[in-house]
Order: sequence, then structure tokens, then C-alpha cells
Amino acid sequence: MEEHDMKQWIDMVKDCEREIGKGIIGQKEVIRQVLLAVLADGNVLLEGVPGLGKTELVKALSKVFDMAFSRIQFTPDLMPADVTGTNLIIKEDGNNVFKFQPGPVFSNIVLADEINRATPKTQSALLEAMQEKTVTVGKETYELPSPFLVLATQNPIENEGTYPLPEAQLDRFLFKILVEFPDKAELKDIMDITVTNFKPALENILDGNRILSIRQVIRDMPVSDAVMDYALSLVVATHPEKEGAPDVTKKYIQTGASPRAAQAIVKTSKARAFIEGRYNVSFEDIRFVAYPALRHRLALNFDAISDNITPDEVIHKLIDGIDTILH
Amino acid sequence: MEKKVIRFVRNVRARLRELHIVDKLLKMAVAGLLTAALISVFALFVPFYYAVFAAVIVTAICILAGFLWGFINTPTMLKSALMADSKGHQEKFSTAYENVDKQDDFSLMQRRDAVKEMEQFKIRREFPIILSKKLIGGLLLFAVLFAAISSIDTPAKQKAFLSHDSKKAAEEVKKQIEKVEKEFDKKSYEGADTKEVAKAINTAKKELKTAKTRQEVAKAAKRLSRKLEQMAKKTNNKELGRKMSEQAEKLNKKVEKQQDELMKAAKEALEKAEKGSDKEKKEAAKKMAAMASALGNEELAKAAEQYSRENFSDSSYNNMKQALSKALKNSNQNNSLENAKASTASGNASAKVDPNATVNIKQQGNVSGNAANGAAAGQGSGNNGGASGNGTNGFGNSGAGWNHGSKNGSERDAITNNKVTVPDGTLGNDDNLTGKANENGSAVKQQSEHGLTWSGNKVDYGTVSGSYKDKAYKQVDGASYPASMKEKIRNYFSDLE
Repeated sequence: MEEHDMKQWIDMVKDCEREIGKGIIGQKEVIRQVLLAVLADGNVLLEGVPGLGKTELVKALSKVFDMAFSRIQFTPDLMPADVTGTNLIIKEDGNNVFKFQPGPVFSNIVLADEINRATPKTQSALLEAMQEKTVTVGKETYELPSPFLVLATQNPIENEGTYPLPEAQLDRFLFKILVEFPDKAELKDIMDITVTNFKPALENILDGNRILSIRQVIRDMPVSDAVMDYALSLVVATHPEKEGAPDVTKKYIQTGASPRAAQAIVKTSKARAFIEGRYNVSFEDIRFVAYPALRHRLALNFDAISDNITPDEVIHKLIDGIDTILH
Repeated sequence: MEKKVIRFVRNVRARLRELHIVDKLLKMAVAGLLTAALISVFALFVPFYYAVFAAVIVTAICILAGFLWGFINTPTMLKSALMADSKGHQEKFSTAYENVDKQDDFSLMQRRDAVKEMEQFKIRREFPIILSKKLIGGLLLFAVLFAAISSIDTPAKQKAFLSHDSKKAAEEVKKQIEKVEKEFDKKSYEGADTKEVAKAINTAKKELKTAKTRQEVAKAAKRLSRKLEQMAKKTNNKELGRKMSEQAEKLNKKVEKQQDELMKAAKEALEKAEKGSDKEKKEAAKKMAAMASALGNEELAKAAEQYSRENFSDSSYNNMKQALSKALKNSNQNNSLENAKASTASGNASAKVDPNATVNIKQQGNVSGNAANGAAAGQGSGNNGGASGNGTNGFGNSGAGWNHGSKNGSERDAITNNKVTVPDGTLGNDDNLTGKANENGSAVKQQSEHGLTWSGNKVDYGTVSGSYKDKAYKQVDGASYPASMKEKIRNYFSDLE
């Protein structure tokens, strides 16, 4: 791999980010984090109130990456077969035969809208696909297309009649990204696009194969021992049962992050360094990806709830503590 | 490229080492100067002659320790690279340093990228030597405190100076005494005489050890020299006797030399102080105090103290000068008395004069000494009485004579139960011995063939006198008699031997 190839790919990824930004006003952080998850081969859980453009984001993503996109609206009556597909009896050559009809999960980018509305049985069907990148129907196992990315959404309000994802299944999401309400200027820009005839045309910049190659390159990016130690110290610091756990951990965390959190942090920090045009991971990369990588993996206790402490505040204090030791 | 990476990190480390050393040096210098200031405060109240020296040594040790601490605590190569990274280089340097041996595509690209930034990195600008204002302030404050407190004179400092001065003098005399001891260690002198010399030397050494003033040192030396002279006269061994006299003379010369040097220094200091700077006046006050200690003269000591206290005023200067003159006069009188006592009835006399005088007198009978700007003392012995010495612009002393007394006793009041013993009844008129009895009194005369003892056993005189002397010395050392009284007692028992 030559340096100019590297620079070319970096520029292409930056162009992708810029292009997606044309379709989604504001939300720069969200776009950056989604892009990191794509490059790190991970799935994303988007949490935000309705109407913030989560679906538009996924559509823009699929256009820029030239990848197949499907959307699944999760409802309480949704069945697993509705997600994965099923065998149907069809007439073929005069005979009735069973033929597998692939479900909406057979796509490069799957938008699982309001995943917490479906029953646990249906949720687990999708989650199996996310983890294994395969679907098993009957005795047959079918490979999902590559690259494969699930963007699930959750509404933080209206929790009645929902089935919150258990921690074990939340852990399978690389990132949990919070989609915030836009400010006034951004809202105006949104109006300009959505209530007028003006529709931004998004260009295709990368394809699936190029994304797979970029992922391969990113995996080779070096991480120094000091930076790796920093990332691992952060994950270990989330465990209250460990010796030397910070006070904030002992006070507010019931269960700490799993080793998947460490993997998520390292993979996505490499992706960030790549997008930034560097050939090594820095402490700043770790700090950036720590929030989306850890916030859904920390089980806070009742003290945190009663003190109104959010996972992001806990992560912030942990980072401050480790930075102090580092200096 | 690999070498560039390593050289860069090494240069960063060297710079960080400099920063560390400066930082630790400064901290330890402050600690050292604080300790120095505390030592100088301590020395204000407790006699400690080497306070300034100790303070300087402590400060120097602290500075050296600071240097070593900074040197040893230098960050490692990797830490140095990370510290360079912290200037906004996003761990490029530390990653390049860690992967310096790797040759895969990514590592090579990363190294190239890092080297580009290393070439732009100005180490000295990024790591400037910044001296903490607090530390600099502390350094200056404690340095000034130390200097100021060290320059304050207190009674404890005076005491320390005098004690050191006398110890120094004692050391010199001790060296001379050791030479004497060496001389009599030779086998050819083995015998009772040399044992006695050894005993006298040990006594002198003990006295030197406990001597607190120059005067006590001089007297200890003079006692030994007198002892040697006496033994020289008694011994049958001519060679030994000659050696004893020689060593006694050397001891005396040593003591005189010390006194002369002190006198000279005191004189010079006094002259300089008349119109000199405060420093010279301070020096003069010190020398006068030393002189006062050497002569055992309280008046001079007080005058010197007053001179310091009254800020070196002219009146206190004149006072001090007069006190010195008196002290010298008294001292020469005492010396004459002692020298005359040491002489025998045959009338060998020697006179000692101040080194500034040009006259040395060695004769019997009436003598006179003349000296310009000096002190002269004349001594005579025997029946002719003493003589006087005259000096212009100097200190004249009168001579003193001493004898064993006349054969005829003089009348005195009768004392009850008093026995008078005459070793040889052939001398003198016995009527004089009985004295004049009062109305009820009576005097009984007895003659005995056995001399002093009425009953009991005869005991060797040397044992008795030696034992008395040892007891007396012990008693004197432990008691709180005035120094002059102690001297008299020691002289008395020493002369008994």
C-alpha cells in the first residue's frame, strides 16, 4: 500500500462525510460517529425523539456508499420471519416447492426503526443476524451481504408497551449515538430542504468493496502501548469490583463494560485517526470514541438515577481521572 | 529515518533532563538555605563555632542532592517522546519511537509522517527553562535571612569563638607536649624519672582537655614545663636532665609564641579599629575578648563587650584600650610572681619581657628594663629585693622579690594546740619557737629522734603527696571555684611533688 493510495482513500472518506452532510443538516457529530462505525464494521443504535432525520441519515448513507438499503419498522406484532425471511410454497415446473424468500435483513444497510417496540423473540432474530452475519431458516443458513450494517433506532420517550433491549444485547451494538434536537439555524436549513422543492443530490463516492478494503487497512493502523494502555485503563475503570476503582465508579456503576467495549474503542479510534489523516491512534481519538462506545454498556445503580447522573457524566469523570494520572 | 527518530527522542530527553535538574536544584537549594538559616538561628543561642561552615556544607550537599535527584529522575525515552507528543502532536513521536524497528507499510508511513514533524519541532522553544517565581523568591529570602542572621553577634557566638580559640591553642600545645612525650619514649631514658615525666605529661593532657580558656591552656603548659625543670634539677642522669630542660624551654617558647601572636594580632586589630571600618572594629572587639580570655581578665572582657554594644564608640574604644593596658600590667605582675616563685634561693632569676621590648634581662639584684611602646618587667630575687622596670609609652611593672624568710621567726599571737615541728633543731633559737605564752598558756617542747611522726607508720612522701594531688585535682575539676582559685590550688599541689 502506497502513501498516495492512503491519502486518496482518506480524501474519499472525508468526501463521504461531506456528502452525507448535504442530506442531513447539522448532526455533524452523528454523521462522524456513524461513519466510524461503518469503517469499524459495527452496528449502531441511534437514540432520539422522532423527526430528527434518523431515517434520512440512513438513506443518505446508502446513497453515498452505493449500498442496498432496507427499512424495518418494528411493531409489537412483528414476527421473526418478517425480519429474516421465510420459506414459501411456490409452484415451480408444475410442482409445489418450498423456496426461501429473503427478508428485509438481506441488505447492506438495515434500518431497524424503533427496535424496542418488537417482542424479544423478534429482536433476537435481528440480533443474531447482526452478530453472525447469517440467517438460519429451517435447516438452511444464509449469508448476509457484505458489508452489513444495522442502524437501530430507539425513542427515549413513550416507553409504555415497549421491550427494552437487555444489556447483553445492547452490548452487540458498537456505538450508541444520541441524536440531539437541532438548533435554530440548523432547523431553518432543514426547512429549506424539506418544505421546498429543493432536494440535494447526493453522489456515490464509495462502494461496498472499497469499504471492505478500507476496513482492512484501518485494522493495520498501529496503536502505541501508551494509547492502548489508556483505552484499557478506561474500560477497567468502569468496574466497581476492581481494586483501585475510582470513587465515581464505586458510587454510581453497578456493572462495568465488557471486553467488547475495549474492542469497540480501539477499532473506532483507529477509524477516527484514519479519517483525521493520521497514521497512528492518539489519546484524543480514545477520548472521542469513549462516549458512544461506553454509554450503553454501563449499568448505573439507583444512586445514579436518584442523583440524576447520566452515563456520559460518569464517562467524563473517568476520563478526567485517567488524564490526571497520565500527566 | 530510524536514526532520526531515536536522535530526536534522545535530544528531547536531554532537554527534559536539564529542566528536571534545574527544577530539583532550585528546590533543594531553597531547602538547603532554609536549613542554613535555621542553623544560623540556632547558633545565635547555642555556642556553635562552625555554624556558618555547617550551613554552607548543608546547602552544598542539598544542591548536589538536587542535581543527582534531577539526573536520576529524568524521564525514560518513551516518556520523553510522550511529553513531546503532548505539545499537540497526537502521539506521533511515541508511536514512531515504539515502532522504530517495524518495517510494514503502515509503520513506515507513520514514521515518515512523524519525522516530518520532528524536523519542525523546536525542542528548546517547546521546553523552555522556566524558573518558578515562588522558588526564586524563597531562595533569595532564605539567602538574605541566612546572611543577616550570620552577621548578628550574640554572647553565644562570642562564647563559641573563645571556646574554639582556646581549643586551637590547646591543640597546638598538645602537639608540642606529644613531641615532648616522644622524646622521653626512648629506651635509653627508661627508669623512674621517665615514668614521672610520663605521669606529668598525662596530667597536662587531661588539663588541656578540660581547659576552657587560653589562660588555662597556658597554665597547663607552664605547669608541665615547671615540672620538667624541677625534675631536670633533681635527676642524676645528666643527659635526661638536659633533655628535660630543653623540652621545658620548648614548651615555654610555644606558649610565649601563642601569647605573642595573640598580643600582636590584638594590637594590630586595635590600631586598625581606631579609624577603621565597622568590620575592623568588630574584629578588634573579638581579639580583645580573646585577649581577655587569655589573660583571665574580666574587666577587659567587659570593655570588649561594651565596645560592641555601644556600636564601637570612641569612648568605649578608649575604655577598651585602658582595660587592655591594665590587663597586661596585671598579667606581667602575675608572671613575675610565678617566675620568681619558681626560682630557688640561690637566686637564679630570669626576666620575661614583652616581645616589643628590646630588653631581655638575666641578672640578680636590682634590674631595670626599658622599652619603647612595649611592656617591660623586671624581676629580682634573693635578699636584695626586687627592682622596677620602666618603659616609655609602655606598661611599666614593678619587680617582686621572694625569699624563704629569715631565720628568726617573728612574734605572733599564741594559738591553742598548735604544734610546731622543726626538722633540724640545730638551726635557730628555740626560744623563738615556743613563742610568748599567754597567762594561762604553756608551751611544751619535745625532742624526738624520729622527726615528724609521733606514732604510727612511716609512709613514702611521694605516694602521699601524689595521692593528695590526684584527689585535689579531681575535686577542683568537679567544683565551681573561680578559675584563678583553681589555678592556685593546682599550683600548690603540683609544687608539693
